[in-house]
Formats: sequence, structure tokens, C-alpha cells
Amino acid sequence: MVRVTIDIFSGRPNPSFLLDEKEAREILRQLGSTPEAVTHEEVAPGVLGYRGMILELEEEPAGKLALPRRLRVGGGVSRDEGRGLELAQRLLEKAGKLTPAAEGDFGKLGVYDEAALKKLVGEELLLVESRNVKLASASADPNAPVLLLPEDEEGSVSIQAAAPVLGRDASTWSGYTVGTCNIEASAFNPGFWNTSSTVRLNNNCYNYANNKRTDTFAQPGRATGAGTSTMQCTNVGNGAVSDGLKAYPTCATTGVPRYYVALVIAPGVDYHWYRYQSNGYYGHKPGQTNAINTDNSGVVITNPQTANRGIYTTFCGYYTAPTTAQIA
Amino acid sequence: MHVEADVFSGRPNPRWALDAALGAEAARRLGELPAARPEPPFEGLGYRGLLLTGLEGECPEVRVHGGRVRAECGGETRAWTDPGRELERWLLATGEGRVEPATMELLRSQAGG
Repeated sequence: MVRVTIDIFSGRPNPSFLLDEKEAREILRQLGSTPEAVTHEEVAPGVLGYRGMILELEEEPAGKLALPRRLRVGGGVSRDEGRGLELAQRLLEKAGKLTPAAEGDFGKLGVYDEAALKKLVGEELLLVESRNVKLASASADPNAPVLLLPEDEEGSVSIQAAAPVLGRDASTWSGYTVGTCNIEASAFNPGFWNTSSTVRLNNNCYNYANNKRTDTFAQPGRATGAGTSTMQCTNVGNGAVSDGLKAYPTCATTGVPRYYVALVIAPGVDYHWYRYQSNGYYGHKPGQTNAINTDNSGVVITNPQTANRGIYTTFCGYYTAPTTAQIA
Repeated sequence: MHVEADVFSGRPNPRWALDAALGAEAARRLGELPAARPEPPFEGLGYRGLLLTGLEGECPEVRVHGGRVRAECGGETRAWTDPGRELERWLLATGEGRVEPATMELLRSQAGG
């Protein structure tokens, strides 16, 4: 059985409905095959109004599909919102009788004008699509160019609230000194990032560098209004500093642990981050792939400046990433 | 059916949809490839191949990279050869006009085009 809650209200209880067996099986199959369209329930856009559909799964199918038992889809915060919005639209079409998601006697507040609510949510889905991510989807113009970062009409990047931290790969660390900066480093723990496909596919190099799993494929500056689509050291670095990282030799004096990280750029196209580990080398996570400690030649990375970085030919510099940094 | 260029580390990968005709052609081309022994995929920085997703049947997603095609099919890893990287180049061409120019230029240089 799958219960779906439309996360839309602030005062009234949110409406929810149950999917029938056949539809539940189909939606689970689709969710399992596109984990990048799904986030944990707590990963929510910081907006009033529609914030996505929350699905409650039973333990067995959730475990089998490696999905969270309470997940969010179509809220504009996952890595593949094109697909997420398709799934949310499908759920909306299949919505049956709406009842309050919370228990209690809400009187008239728990009675929903189903036609009006479905129309509203349908309109909100279109707004999410245009506000957050422009992606070519099956229903959109197949010739529309793909914009790879969300931008508003003025060309600046939209702000999302700092994403909840769903986990970290270490709870202990060792202290070191780099120049005049005190930093901390934890042991390389790739299993945290690699074992679950949800974690692996929805967390990138920036998540790894900050040691914060958010399932949002975090972008420098997105949580603090300084995101960028210009892939150069200054722009990406400024985004990270806005989030709370410090550009070495400036030191983070609070926010232990303060990870020592390095920024590199594939000029004009992308960025990448490394994090120093207590094992004496650097770990990193190339996008949706596994967290590793080797470079493109298979050599353990003791120096990001001299490692084989493939297309990331520009070394920008080092930063300290305190635990107080906010990413989204 | 979608094509995703698995290339980035920080930004989300470029991804575009195939319409029904292109999807059918992709499936046809896949069906003609000779079987091969699976090899581990490249997982470093930079271009890691094209992911074709939304396929029907046992193998809903395949990775096309460097003359090889690899898929997880119902718990089993299968592979095929892509002679001359023809499928890879054809899939990449379906993204023309749908991926920003700098990225497309990078992908062409990496995909043997």
C-alpha cells in the first residue's frame, strides 16, 4: 500500500490519498528505476504552497528498491526534476478520495474541494517546472536546449533553502595544521556514499567535500543566493565562500570539523572538489559515481595539484569547509 | 527514453529525451550489437559514456562508452561491443541543439566524434 500526501498547505492539514495495488506497483517500479528523481521527505523546497508529493512506502518494497520509506517527488529539489514532475503529474491523475494526512478532527478544514485542489496542484507543477529546472522531457519540445542550472529571468541562480543534512561519513576526526589554519580530517569511508544508489546518485563532489549528504546534488552558492552557471574559479569559489567555506589562507576559526578541500575547474563546463582524509590522501566523488581516493591514472591522490584530473585542468585553490557551512 | 551524458562531477549531467521514432531506432541499433565480455566501467573524472534509460525489457538502462555497451539486467551484468563507436556517436548526435555548445564540444571530443 502506498499513501501519497500532497505537501501544499501551511495551516490546514495536507490532503492525502491511497494508491490502488496496481498503481502502487507501477509507481514503485518507476521510482526504483529513477532514484535521482526522488529525495528523502525532509529535503523540501523552502517555499509556501506546493512542495511536492510525499510517499509512504512499506518496509519491504522500500528496502528492495533501496528507497527511503518516506520520500518526496516532484518538489523541485531532486537531481532530475524533469522525471520527478512527470511522476508527480501521474500521481495527481491517479489521486482518489482526498483525506487529511494527519489524524484528528479538523472539521471543514479536513474537507477538500477535490476538483479545485487538483487544478491548483496541476498549475503549481507547471510553476515548479518553470521556476526550478528547465529540462527536455518527453512532453516538452524535444528541440529545446537543456539548461544545466536553474536560472530566473534575470539570469541569476535561484535560491533554495539550506538542505537538511541527512548524514555524514564520519563522526570522529583528527586535528592538523596547514600553514596558519587548524583543520580536521576524517578517515576515508567510501561505503557511506557508494552502497545506496539513492545516496550515490543524488550527492556529488560538493556534498562529499563538505561531508554532507543532502540528496540534492548540492551546488556551490545555491543555499545562499550566490550560485553560478559560470564555470570559472572565481565564480564557483565565491559560491562556496557564500555558503560558508573559507578560501585558504583565510582560516575557518569555528565550525569544527573544518575539512581541507580543493577546488578544480574544467574551464567553462564544470567544477570538482577533493577532501583531505586522515589517511594522508584525498578522497573525492566524481558526480553520481562512487567516492574514490584515486585519480584518473588509478593513483592514490596525495596532491590534487599534480593528480591526473582529466578535463579539470585548472587548479583553483584550497578551502576550509567548516561544519557550519550551508549547502543545498 | 532518455540519453544522459555522464560527464560532470559538480553540475548535473546533461540529459535529453528521445521521441518515439528515435527511441525505436536506438532500441533497434542496440539489438544488433554483438555480445561481449563485461568490463568494469570507468569511474573517474570526465566523460564516462552515454546512459540510455527507459528501455523496455530486462535491461532498462545501458551505458555506451568507448566501443562497449554495458547493462545490469535483472541482477546480471551483460555487455556488447559497439564497433567504431557508431551507436555512441549516433546517440550523441541526438543531443545536437539540446546541450549547451561548450559541453557538446567536449562530448564530441570525448566520444570519438
